[in-house]
Amino acid sequence: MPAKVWSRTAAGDIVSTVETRGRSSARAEDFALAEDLDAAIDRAFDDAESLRSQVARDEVPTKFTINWAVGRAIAQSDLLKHAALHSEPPALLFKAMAAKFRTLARADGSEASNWVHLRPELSEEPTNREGSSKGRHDHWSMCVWLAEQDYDDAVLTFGGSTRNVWQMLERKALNPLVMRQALRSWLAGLPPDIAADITSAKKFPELMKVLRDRWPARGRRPALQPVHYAEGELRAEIARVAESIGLVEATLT
Amino acid sequence: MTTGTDAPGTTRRVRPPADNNVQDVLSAIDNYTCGPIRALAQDPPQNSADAARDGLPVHVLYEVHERIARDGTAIKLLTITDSGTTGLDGPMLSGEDLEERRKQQGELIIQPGENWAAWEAMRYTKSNEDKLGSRGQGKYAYLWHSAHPAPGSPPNLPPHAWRMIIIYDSLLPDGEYRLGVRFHNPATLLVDPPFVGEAAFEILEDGYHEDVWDVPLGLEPLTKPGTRVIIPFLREDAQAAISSGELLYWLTAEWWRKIQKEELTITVVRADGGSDQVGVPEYWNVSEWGRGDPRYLSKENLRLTSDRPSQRRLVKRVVLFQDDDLQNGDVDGPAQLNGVQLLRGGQWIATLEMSEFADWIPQIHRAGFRGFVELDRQLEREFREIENPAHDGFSKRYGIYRELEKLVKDVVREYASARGWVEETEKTPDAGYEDLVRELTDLFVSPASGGGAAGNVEWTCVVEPNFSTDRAHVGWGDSMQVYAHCKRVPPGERDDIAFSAMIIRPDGTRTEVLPERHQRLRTDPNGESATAVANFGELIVEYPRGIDAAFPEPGRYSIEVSCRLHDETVARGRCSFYVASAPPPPPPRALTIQLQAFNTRDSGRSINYGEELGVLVQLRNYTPQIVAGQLAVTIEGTPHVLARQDVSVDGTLPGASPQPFAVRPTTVSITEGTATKDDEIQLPPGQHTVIAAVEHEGYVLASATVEINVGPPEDEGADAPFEVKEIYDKPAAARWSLEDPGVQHRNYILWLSHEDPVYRAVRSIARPAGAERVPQVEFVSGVVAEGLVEWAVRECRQRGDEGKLRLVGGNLAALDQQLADRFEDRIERLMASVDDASAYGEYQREIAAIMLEASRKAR
Repeated sequence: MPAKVWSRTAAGDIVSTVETRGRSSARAEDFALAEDLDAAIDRAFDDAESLRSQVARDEVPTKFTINWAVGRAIAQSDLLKHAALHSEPPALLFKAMAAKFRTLARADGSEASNWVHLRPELSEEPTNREGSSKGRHDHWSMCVWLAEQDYDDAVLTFGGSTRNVWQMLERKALNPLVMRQALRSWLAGLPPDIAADITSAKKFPELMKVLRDRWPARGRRPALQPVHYAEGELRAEIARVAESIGLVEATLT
Repeated sequence: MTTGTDAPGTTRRVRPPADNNVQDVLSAIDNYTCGPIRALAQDPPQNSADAARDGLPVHVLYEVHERIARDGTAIKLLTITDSGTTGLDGPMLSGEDLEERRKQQGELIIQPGENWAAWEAMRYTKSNEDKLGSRGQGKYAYLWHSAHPAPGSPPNLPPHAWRMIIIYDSLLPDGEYRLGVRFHNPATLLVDPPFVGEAAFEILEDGYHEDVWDVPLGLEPLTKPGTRVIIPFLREDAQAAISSGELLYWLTAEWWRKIQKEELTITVVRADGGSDQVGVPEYWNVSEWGRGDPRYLSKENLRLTSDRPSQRRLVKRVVLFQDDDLQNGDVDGPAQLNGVQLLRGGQWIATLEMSEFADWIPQIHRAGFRGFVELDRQLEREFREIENPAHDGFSKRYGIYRELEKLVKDVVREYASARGWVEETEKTPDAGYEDLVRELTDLFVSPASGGGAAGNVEWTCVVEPNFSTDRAHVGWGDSMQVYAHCKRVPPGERDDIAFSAMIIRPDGTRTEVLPERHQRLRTDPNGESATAVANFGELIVEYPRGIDAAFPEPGRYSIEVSCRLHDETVARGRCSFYVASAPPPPPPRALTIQLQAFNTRDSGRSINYGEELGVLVQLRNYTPQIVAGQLAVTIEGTPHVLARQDVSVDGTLPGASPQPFAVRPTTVSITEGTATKDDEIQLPPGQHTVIAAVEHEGYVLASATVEINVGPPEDEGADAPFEVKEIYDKPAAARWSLEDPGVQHRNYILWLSHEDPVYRAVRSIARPAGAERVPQVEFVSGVVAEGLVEWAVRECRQRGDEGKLRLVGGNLAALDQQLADRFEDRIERLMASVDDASAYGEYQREIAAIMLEASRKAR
């Protein structure tokens, strides 16, 4: 099923094509569905702006809050279940969203300048993280994944760092929500300065690396992955692994 | 024509280009597999074709001239002139320009259209183009042929101290005229700046007489846009090749297809003034590639096996021809026209030699065999990437090359069959490696349907000998007690079980020494099973005193006990021990897992919706100590947990075979829709991986995986455990090696050395009369069998997955019990000798030989 993909011509005009299954379509029913989806994306982006202002806290980086708000708005809007995306990979939605944010095009063709601060910094040419492909995560799928946790939980889990979000997201075994909740729970039990240290740009990747090694994807590997554990079990396992590399002292956990 | 002229006050000097000297040129051309005359036939037209202008046909003229130098010496010049090309256009960058660019860009990048600079530079990258080889090598083909000792040089001066020179002039489409000089004396120098306009004309008329050079030219300027390269002091072998027609032969071999497509014309004018036009071999001068003529076979739009909608890999055309009246006209060296030429862009790159088709083309028909292959444009681009810098071969280590080679062989086989040279009933003589792996995999690694893992009643038999020492070892005259336990789950009736025991000797022969016993099943205290225990009494290991002795020699013996219910064998168990010889040390890995996942209906690995998935896990502890941990069984990529329980596995005496500790998780029903019951799980159609692992405090003691297929069965055979690839151009490579899976490839790769002398030898041997297979296939089968052993052992060593070894042994037992006994013994010895390379290699070869023997029996 189809989605509308916006672009800007060399002359600066905003134009769109309807794409389905990797090709452009000229069928009337595709256009109708694509336009409905396009309008739904508009509403989600507008909701994101409202959500952001509701949850924002001064001590949390704005970028992190925006990413969470965009992700939660997409999830709440049920965009991923939209009829236009039936039999399509989620990548098509993310591609359409990336194009809308790049062109700032609303469904009615007007320019949504208020979205500018909702989008990540743009490079001249789209990067791999602007519209997902080949099953890899992009900015928008990251936002959706981040917003699976409530805002305060997400802030605690990642220390408000989008870089940390990517560190965990790109290690597939660590993706299940229960893993993030277990991490949040473990961090919540630590003294705040220790928790802040662990979610620092230096320590958090170390923790992710050693957790990935605990559940490797190839070779001699455990049958039980994080998705198979209860939150309490995972919390204990995170504590054990963190202690084993000296990230925290045993007495703290 | 606008001639232009030198700027007033122009001062010329010579500058060295980036590198190279006479030795570089000699080495580069010597590396052309077919020699310098092919280089002379190949590179000039290729340069011209690359510079074709606006789709104009390109003409190349080779012409020999005789001139007298100022010192009275007669010399010959060869001029190679093209037209229909862009000429050497673009800016004439100076040495400083090029150096500045190299500094700024980190490397020298020549932009499209900078053809003069590209011609004069060396070792550069062309922007927006592929990096094919070492740029500039094409010039060497000209230079090589002007190599000569400088006048007055001592006799026997080595060639690397000779000198070389080429002069090149170009008329551009806008009328500009340029002339450059490059010489090696022996270091390389370029005249900088080049001569333009009138200055160039003067050189052409009077010759080049600067510095040490005395080069008479006496040539007219070009009248059509294009380029001329002048090779003074033409070497005698090139002169001979031109007058004898050898150059014409190479030009035909190299360019006939491009000439046929009217994209190129080539003329050769000899020193005697006679001229020849390069043409197309007569046998290719046919319409519709000889359709209807039995001597021809053409096939078009053939797909390589890796062709996908997202990655088209199409062979545009394969055309074959054979005529017994046609002689093999190839000159010495690699094959040229006799064989199947691989063309790229209408240019001949390499030829698949007749020895490659020896299985199908009889010797008497080989001389008159010809063929060629043209690729689709997209596939041509891929082949260009794997072409060598000399444009006379492809790297054979790439998969697409081997796929193409196999495709061509298939077409040749079809042709031979149509000509009646191959008997239709004959089995494929050169089965692909995949087929060989598949054959042995199906025989030894595929789970056997209808095996004992399935069913609602589980029978097990455990044989328990009691030794007087802490090892499974007895000396001559010693004795041991032998017990056997037969267990049934669930308990059922109090049936009478017949126990019979066989001694299996080191050579695999059997004898019945222990008397048959009968015992009734009694329900165990837990109420979940029933057990019958037989006491065979004391077994005395007597010193061998006759040919019928039960224990005729020292070595490893086994006792196999069969349990029969109503004359049907329901379970077998065995134990092993060593008589008068030391048992091997336990293998390094303490715990292993054997995992079976199967359709409970037929034990196959395909499960339709509504059917049940059964799992059987068997743990073996090879150490004397108890091993404890947590066993879990899951389906990868899903949240389903099929089993999760603490286990404690008893130890094993040194020399004894570990008794399996079995865990049978509850069966689950596979559904397509949402699961509504506890014993249902939802799985999408396709392949899934069941994984079992034992962990202890976050450390994985052992893990094993098994693939199952949900939905209609596509292939009941096991997935091939590895892919066979040939390794080329490494004469010192081992005959074969097994590479572990990695990031680039998820499966094992068995590398087979193409250069191995034995393999080279067997490739050229035809099938002996009465033999079922050609020697090459037999050879590769042996390697694949050894590779299967290595793979199974490696899975066990690295992951603790013993299932692969057990499958091989189990399937072997179904084929030949005596071979299976020997196999079991050798496997245990192999496992125990993983740190002893010599013993390991010996057992590995022996096991492979057992498998091949079983394979032959199965056929």
